[in-house]
Amino acid sequence: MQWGPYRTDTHIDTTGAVDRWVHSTCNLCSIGCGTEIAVKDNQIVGIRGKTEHDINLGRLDPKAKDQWIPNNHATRLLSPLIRNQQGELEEASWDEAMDLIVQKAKETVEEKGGDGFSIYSTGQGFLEDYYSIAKVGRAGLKTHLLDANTRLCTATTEWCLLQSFGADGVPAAFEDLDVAETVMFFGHNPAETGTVFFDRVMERKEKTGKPTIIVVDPRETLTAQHADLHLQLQPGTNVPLMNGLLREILHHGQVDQPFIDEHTIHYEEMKDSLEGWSLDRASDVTRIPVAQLQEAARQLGHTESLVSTTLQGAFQSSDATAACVAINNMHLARGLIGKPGSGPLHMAGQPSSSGNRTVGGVGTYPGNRNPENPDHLQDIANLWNVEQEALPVGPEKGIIKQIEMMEKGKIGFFWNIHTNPLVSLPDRERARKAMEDVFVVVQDPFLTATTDVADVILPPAMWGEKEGTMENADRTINVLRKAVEPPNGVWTDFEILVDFSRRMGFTDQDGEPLIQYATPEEAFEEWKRVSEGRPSDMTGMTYDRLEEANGIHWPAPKTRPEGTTRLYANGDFRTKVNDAQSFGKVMDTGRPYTQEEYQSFNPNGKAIFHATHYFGPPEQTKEAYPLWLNTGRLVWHWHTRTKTGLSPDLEEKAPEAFVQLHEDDARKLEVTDAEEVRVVSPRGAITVPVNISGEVKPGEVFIPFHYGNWDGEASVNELTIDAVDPLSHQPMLKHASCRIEKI
Amino acid sequence: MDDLRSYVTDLDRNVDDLLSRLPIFDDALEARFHLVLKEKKAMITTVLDELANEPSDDQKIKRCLKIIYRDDEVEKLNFQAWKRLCQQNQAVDASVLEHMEQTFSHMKEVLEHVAEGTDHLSARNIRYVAPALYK
Repeated sequence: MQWGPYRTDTHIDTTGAVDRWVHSTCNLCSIGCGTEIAVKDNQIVGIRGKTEHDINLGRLDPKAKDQWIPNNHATRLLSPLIRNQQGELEEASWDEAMDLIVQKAKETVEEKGGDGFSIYSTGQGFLEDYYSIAKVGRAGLKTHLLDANTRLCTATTEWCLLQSFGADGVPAAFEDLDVAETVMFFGHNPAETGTVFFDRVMERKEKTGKPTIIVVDPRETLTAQHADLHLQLQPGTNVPLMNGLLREILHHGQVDQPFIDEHTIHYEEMKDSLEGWSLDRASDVTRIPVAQLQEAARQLGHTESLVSTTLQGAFQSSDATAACVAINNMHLARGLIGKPGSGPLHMAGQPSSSGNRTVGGVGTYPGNRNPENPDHLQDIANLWNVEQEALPVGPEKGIIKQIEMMEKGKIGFFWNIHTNPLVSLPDRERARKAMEDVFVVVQDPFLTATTDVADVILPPAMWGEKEGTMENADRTINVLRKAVEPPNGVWTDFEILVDFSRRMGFTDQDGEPLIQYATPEEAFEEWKRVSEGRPSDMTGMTYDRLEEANGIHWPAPKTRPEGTTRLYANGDFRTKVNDAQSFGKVMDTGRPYTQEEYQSFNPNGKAIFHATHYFGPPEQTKEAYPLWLNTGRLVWHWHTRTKTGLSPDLEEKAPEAFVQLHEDDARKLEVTDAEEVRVVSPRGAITVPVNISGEVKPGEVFIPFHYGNWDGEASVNELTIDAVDPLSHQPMLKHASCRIEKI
Repeated sequence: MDDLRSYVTDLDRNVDDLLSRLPIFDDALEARFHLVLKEKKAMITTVLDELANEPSDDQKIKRCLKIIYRDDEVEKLNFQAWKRLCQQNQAVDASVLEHMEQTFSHMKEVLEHVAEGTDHLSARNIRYVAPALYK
């Protein structure tokens, strides 16, 4: 074992022995750590890491140790709520709530068509729930408006993979970290956002001296502090950095020409596009010294194995997909893909965001099927026994587009499942106004900032109270067993969706119910049939096998039930025209290619190089707003703190937002540590205390995004911009201009 | 059956109007929708040229229309974000933004009419040509 030792991190709160430990998986970050839930007297009383689980060797993230606490919290909702005519929320029965939802849904579809109905879900649900959303949404409601908070999180992962390799699914796996000679964390701070993942790398490094770690981040994060080389770039310059490095590597001939010739297309076009990007120019734009760029290019050009990870520093920045495609370009040029220790590992932020894409709850059709390909729609029509003409053509619409549609009165129903967009969306005041004229259903165990605009609130079961599967950041499917029954009055997400479909009267073309499965495991079995022969084939998996194996990487077809650690080992990519999940988009504009255009490229199973031109952030700093605002996470909290905010220990460690500021800027502004200041952007202002820190450079500030309500708690998303990446439509939350005012 | 030529000529006029105003602020978003408008212009020109032929190549027209629809959809996504940033930063005169908004909206309406069927492309054959929100 390259890392270790084994541990059993445990947090229980009970006297005496627990009654039983139940197999599960952590439901917070994207690593997918194996866990066991402690049950006593039919109540969840704790958690421990599963020692023999390869992903975590028994470790738990600090947040994970407390994730069971919200299950038993006094503020938990135990009954549906309906907003009455006075604007107050009143308890209601499930029948009353579901009948009202169905009445409004039917009215909306009648009045506005299927595209008047939006389901905005999550990256924290189960595949069985997502698959049901796909079926209800596509074949029942016939809507394109299936999106999720994954749009804010890892939509860019999907699009960079589609562009380069033809299908979703990260090529590398966590196992590759154990043998890689070099690891590049690109806009990824795992020391705070995936601590067990970071332990895996650092424990190996302590034992063996490997890997060489390169960190790309404008902040000197905890991860950057452990780097062999920290490339502290100017905000919004990921593409110039990658273009400069790749040009240098190509210039020195450090490429795998046989691999390029045999397994890729469009290499020469990509190479030509880099010509202007000397290291001097890259240094000018990124403000990284040339010597550091040379050192990075040398390491990346010579290393025999390389894992490149990306997260929000890449995804929530300008030119997001282009930056990630540039990383793919580098791996392809060097032939560092599909081999042990090598490959892009574009991460997920949530425990099952990639799972939502895989089964079609967001993005393309289930099983990596192309919504623009008539043959793929016919596949789905056959599998679901519905008419092909009834299935909506084309991809989903992202949440920012949906907000515009709400403003124009095009959306009548917004169903928000396990997410809190009125804290997490950029320019959240605008989002709130847009939602106020729409019928809003919020499915959440707790009152949140978003329930303020809800017409109906449905309280669902939580982690440990339901059964299903999740997909982590490296294509591992884990099963989560039910440890306890949900509290009285609470339904699971799965039950809610199946009930909704039944009440709506959705049927197949024989008049039978559209959804005929009754349990999550039956839904998984149906999904397996849908996945057969596709990139995410799971026909070799069963719930029992997933538990026994502590997770299995997809694809796991019947002929290879043990799964597939890394993709593209044979150099065959999913780019054939009738296999590809997408026909791709024009890199500079995001305009989708047509089937005819894609066919003319003739990728035919080869990976695709793309030119990655630099456009930069649409908003720049200026005299009135001279500082760059960056946002991100803290190790102590998860998303908008709906759950972690209920843990006294976590809340005590990080109780409020702050603005991190370099001491040079603090001196200029004549502010001191902990002093309250106003942070003002062209969109709004918030008041937060100062945290003077060397993590940020002069001219840049950082504010964590976990905070915000409508009762005075500051939210950084009062300040952020709602422009999106042209390919992934992921908002650019990482750079806005701002100023700080002394109060 | 409606005349496709009149619709495409209308689009052409509106694209020309927008292109004549650019660049305005010349940021990343504007640069992107500027590129899309140029591509749309080229496709419109091809369609108009083809419509002048007797008989016209309707498959070629269909291929171009697919691109025109997709251009129209993505240019608006970038334009709307650009407009909001311009308003927030008070970077561009409000009347200019309003005129551009109306021009983009008008082009969408024209393409919605085309999706209802014309002399060169029936509504029955529009399923994989026009994106969802144009039908």
